Amino acid sequence: MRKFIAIVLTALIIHSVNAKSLTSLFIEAESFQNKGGWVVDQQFMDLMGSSYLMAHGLGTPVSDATTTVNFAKTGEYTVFVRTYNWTSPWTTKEGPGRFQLTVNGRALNNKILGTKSNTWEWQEVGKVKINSKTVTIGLRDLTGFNGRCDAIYFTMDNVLPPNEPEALTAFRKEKLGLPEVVPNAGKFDFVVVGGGVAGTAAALTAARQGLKVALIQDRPVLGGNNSSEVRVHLGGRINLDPYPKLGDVVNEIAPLRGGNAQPGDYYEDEKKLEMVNAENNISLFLNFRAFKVEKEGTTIRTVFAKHIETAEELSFSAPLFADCTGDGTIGYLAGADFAMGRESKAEFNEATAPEEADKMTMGSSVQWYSKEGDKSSDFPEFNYGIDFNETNAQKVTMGEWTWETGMNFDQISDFERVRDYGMLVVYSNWSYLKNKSSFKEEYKNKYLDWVAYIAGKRESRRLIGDMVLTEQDITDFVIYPDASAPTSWTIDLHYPDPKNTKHFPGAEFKSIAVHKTIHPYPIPYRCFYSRNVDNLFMAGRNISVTHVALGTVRVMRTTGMMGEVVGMAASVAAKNKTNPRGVYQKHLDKLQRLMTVGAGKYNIENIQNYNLGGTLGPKKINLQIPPYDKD
Amino acid sequence: MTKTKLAILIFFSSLFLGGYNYSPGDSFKTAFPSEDFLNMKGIAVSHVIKNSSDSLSDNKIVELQDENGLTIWFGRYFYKDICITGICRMVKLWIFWDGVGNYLGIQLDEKEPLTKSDHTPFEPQDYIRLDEILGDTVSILKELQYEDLVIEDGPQPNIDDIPEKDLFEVDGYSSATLPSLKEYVIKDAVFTCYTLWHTVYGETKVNIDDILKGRIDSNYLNKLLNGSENQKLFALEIIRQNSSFFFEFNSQLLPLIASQNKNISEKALSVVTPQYLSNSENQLRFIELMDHSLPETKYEIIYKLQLIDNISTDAIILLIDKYATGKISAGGLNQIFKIISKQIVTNKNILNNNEIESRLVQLSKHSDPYTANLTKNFLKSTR
Repeated sequence: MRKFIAIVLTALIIHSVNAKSLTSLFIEAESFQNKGGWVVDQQFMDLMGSSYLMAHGLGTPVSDATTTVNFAKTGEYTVFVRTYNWTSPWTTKEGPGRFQLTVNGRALNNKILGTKSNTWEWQEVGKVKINSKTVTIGLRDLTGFNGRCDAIYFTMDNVLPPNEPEALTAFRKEKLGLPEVVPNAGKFDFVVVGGGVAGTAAALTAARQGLKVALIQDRPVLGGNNSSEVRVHLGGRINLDPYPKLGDVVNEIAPLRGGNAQPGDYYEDEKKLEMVNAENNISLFLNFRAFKVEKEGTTIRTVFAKHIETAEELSFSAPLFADCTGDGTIGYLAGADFAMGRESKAEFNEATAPEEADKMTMGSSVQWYSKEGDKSSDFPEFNYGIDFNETNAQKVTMGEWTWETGMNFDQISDFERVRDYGMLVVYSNWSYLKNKSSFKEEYKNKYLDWVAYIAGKRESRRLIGDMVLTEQDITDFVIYPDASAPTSWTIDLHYPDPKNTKHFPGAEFKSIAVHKTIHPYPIPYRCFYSRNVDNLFMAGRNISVTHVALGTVRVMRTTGMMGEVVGMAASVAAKNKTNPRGVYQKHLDKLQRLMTVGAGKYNIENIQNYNLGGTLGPKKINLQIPPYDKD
Repeated sequence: MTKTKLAILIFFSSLFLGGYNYSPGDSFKTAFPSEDFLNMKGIAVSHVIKNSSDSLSDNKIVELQDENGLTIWFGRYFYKDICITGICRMVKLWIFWDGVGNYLGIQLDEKEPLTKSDHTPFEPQDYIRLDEILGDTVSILKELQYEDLVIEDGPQPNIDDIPEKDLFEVDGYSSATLPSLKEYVIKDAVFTCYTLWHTVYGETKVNIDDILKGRIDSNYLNKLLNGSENQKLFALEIIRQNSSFFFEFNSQLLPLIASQNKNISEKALSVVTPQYLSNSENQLRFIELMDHSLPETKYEIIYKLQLIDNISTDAIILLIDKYATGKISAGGLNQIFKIISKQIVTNKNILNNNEIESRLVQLSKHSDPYTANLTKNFLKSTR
């Protein structure tokens, strides 16, 4: 990997006095030099304007986050903190995420934060006398229950910072002293946004074909849902007809062991990272989240990304882009056509589709597990609007994919609530098991060891390509000339668990799966590029499929192979100076040659034997790809 | 239970098996999967089932043993009523289990084939399907009650007409009994499938398991370890449950880890105890098994070592050498580093060992950048 040497706006700059304002100081919490036990959460930047720090202590207060700042002037300041009560959608009680702001180690006015407001807002902490220009600011968690802080503002003018999103964005930029002209990150042939399995495979494949690639990922690790942060294992099969070499790259980055919600090292984050680092043609931008695009006509010219800790912005220009964000963020920002929710039966004549279209999607999972300790342990009483009792409590010690929330909520605009509900039910249920249940003796020594705070999302936007893959393409085994990466998982659609609905109507947190088994089916390449943004590929769950067809293509060995195809197609496009559609129209034979050869490099034996999923087996006819006539 | 051993080598078909009125003869030719169990050569032993709940069937389990005393099969002759809404018909057949109690096959009088609810005889493909169903230890039939079975003569709803919510799957078992059962069982023979499955996994199997359990000793295990695949697996499972046998048999079972048969290899790995692996000589022996192991077994060997608190420097050196010489592929390097990391916690000097250090430095200069970078980062993380 080419070492990323960008213009780094260091914490020093951020925390230095804003030249334009000698009477105020703005501090992004996520930029704290020492984060203690607090975690950086960037998942909702597009909703509430920033990443933030969160005290994810599973009911035990985490250690203080601290940072040293320099004031231009000593004197009395009014202090504001941007926060809110994350349980407010479910209760009117004061929230559990209590924390304090400290100045030189002392809690400011003993003010308890994180308990009020049902939306992100600036809250006054009080006044403080700053006697020395260099001061240590801190966040002191009091509960371990996900108190959160976006930013802190010291002002001598006693002016409340703006809450309105656009004004707040401008305010941040000004206060942080970010340059008007965003620095360019480098010269690239291909920019891949999203470092999940699909994006990582796309970047590796394109780089191995000789393209200069930028890979942008909004977390410190690669792998997305398959990373140690989410812990969903890979699913589906690789190395299938008609292009058995597809999957070789997936095999190289794949964890050797399977299982959902297992210990973090099962997911081998470092293997994915070092596979990427091993490619000189890839420049890896970890912790950068794309938030804006610039277009010329129907072509994306530049993608802008922001560092999730320092707020530093970089621009990425290239002839070709791949949206591997899962949410189809780049396509959405570029005005690409997209679908979200379930199509009606009439729209594509799908047997499994509902009669009427609706907004329902599959949900997101906040996975968790407990461990057995040597001695008994306490867990605080936790009851914030969702009551558990003997009949509805989940008598379990872990929760994996079936702990799924938000199917009837918008998986993008309501996502913070969706994720928070996932955590809320884990804590509420656990509190009941530990403190009140008739079987609490069995749980005496058990303690929560891991609860995800990065939610594993299954479905949101699906960007529309030149072809939309439907259920009957797969079940009728309709093979197209541009057949490419195979999908082998069942058509696996999730619904709220009726047993859970009985106890929690409209607030389900458990799901069931309905499966329709298929023959492994090669997805047409035309599902992998946007129909109305000329230079945008897609790989991952945001490709061009119906809701029903998403049920099979969404598992990660399959999305990884999509990435391989997109990486190959990008190289064909770059070498022939065309766009994704041009590859289909004029150069499909070249893509087919690359898919035949594959992009594996390390000759690693395929021992991907876990979570392959049941199939009907290879279709008992020769898989004939219809002839390709470029004219 | 009592047993009578007929210590003569015979053709089993020439025996008269007392206790019921049937003498197995030439008419018992229809056997599935394909073995003619009743004409196999061996020594017949019979075991009386006391207090059998099945008063219709013969009260003996017949066992055929080879000359070493290992079981070729267990068999029992059954009379079974298959009832549909109060109307019953009698089915007569032999059911056989192998030497470790797994379902093996059936054999029946060719003049009295199995029939369906419409009284037509089973077709050859029906017998093949029945054999598959009876061999399915986790069959959907396991949890069903007789009352749950569907009368197949009635109209069958189309699966697409069933509301989605009624089709859900929990833990691999579908609540949509009707369509699932329809796809699973033999058409018009659901009660036969059900009755025979529960016969295979009923009291006879419990008795066979008891017979086998009563034989467990070193001599018997030794025979099993030299027997068929199933007998090896059976022996390994006994050793896994009773680790006192492990040290007696480790020289026999360790080579089984390198078996090209995945089932045997996995089971053999499962019996290796942490105590055994805490010995440095044993660690080297264990790692050497990789050379001839299946790829997945190599990694299982590494995972086992990751759990051990004291891996010797020699073992670490050997692991690195296995990687450097291509015996372990690129995917395994990260896992080797996990072993070293764990050892560093208790022995910080491990990286000061010249032989380990020089090997890691070499890997950090490897021509393959993945290996080089991963090693460099590993070294950096340990300093």
